[in-house]
Amino acid sequence: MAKYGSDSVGFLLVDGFDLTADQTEVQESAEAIFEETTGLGVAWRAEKATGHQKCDLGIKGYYDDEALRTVEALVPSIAATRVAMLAHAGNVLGRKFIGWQAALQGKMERVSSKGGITKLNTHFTGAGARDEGVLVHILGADTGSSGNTESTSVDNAASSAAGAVCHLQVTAVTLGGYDDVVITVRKSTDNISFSDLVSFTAVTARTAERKTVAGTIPRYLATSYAFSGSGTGQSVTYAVGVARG
Amino acid sequence: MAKTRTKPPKKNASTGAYEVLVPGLTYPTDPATVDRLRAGENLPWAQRGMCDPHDVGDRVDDIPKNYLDDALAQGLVRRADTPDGGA
Repeated sequence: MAKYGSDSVGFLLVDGFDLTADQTEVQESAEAIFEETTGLGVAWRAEKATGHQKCDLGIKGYYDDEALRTVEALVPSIAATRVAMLAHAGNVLGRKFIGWQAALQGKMERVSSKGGITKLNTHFTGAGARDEGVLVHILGADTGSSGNTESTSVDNAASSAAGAVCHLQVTAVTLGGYDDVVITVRKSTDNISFSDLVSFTAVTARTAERKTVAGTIPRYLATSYAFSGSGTGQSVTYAVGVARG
Repeated sequence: MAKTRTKPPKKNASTGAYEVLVPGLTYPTDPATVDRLRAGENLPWAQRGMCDPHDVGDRVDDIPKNYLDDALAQGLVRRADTPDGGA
């Protein structure tokens, strides 16, 4: 356990847009919803959890209209639901991340002020699950035709029984003649043999996806990627996180 | 990241054919590698001599003898030379 500074923030990815460098503040929250259950004859108010939860994500940053920066990523997307990942503890294998299944972009504001750089602030309301898990592939590029992270698998110390949610954010793809690239979360009980846990939809462009898996999740997790077809100069830049149930 | 490659079956491979039951199964084909990984050695992927990924239903005959019980117990493979998988 450790404290983390702003330089530790690994990335903020929204639908495959890497917004990290343009943000100055990220504020996210999760909240359980309570309802009062106080009856007559008692002095102290009573509350009970309803079983509902809500989450929010607010980001503050710079207005940047270069390609793939904040304007392209956020301005046209009011009322759209976005898949997002935040690596608040660093872009490090096995470190925590937070993922949003459907971050509903409800507000976007430009802020211009005398003597200041124009800002672009955005607020997302959770319209689906908020997942907390660990990175099994840090944000980075793979340039082979196929490969995996099995020799640097993430060890959970034990299996888990309640399924998992897997997040993928692809920030850049160069197919170089290949048809597509398939990214797969791999699993192992003993870190000796591996098999597929779940494959994401074949990737041909910047994208994001969240997939759920039921049942027992083995102790060790890794990822693999494989370009389909043939080509040269291929590259895929992506991050994968898994939140165990 | 290491590129997937296939090694020929070792002399210590299991006897008989086994049917793969899980998608994308890979395993080291060298029993010495199994021993080293089992002992906790962190071998680079390129030194593991992993087989190419197998699909469900594939028949394999190169599982190391010293890993066969684990592969069967984990439900990764079953014997392919009996109608019910040897159950």
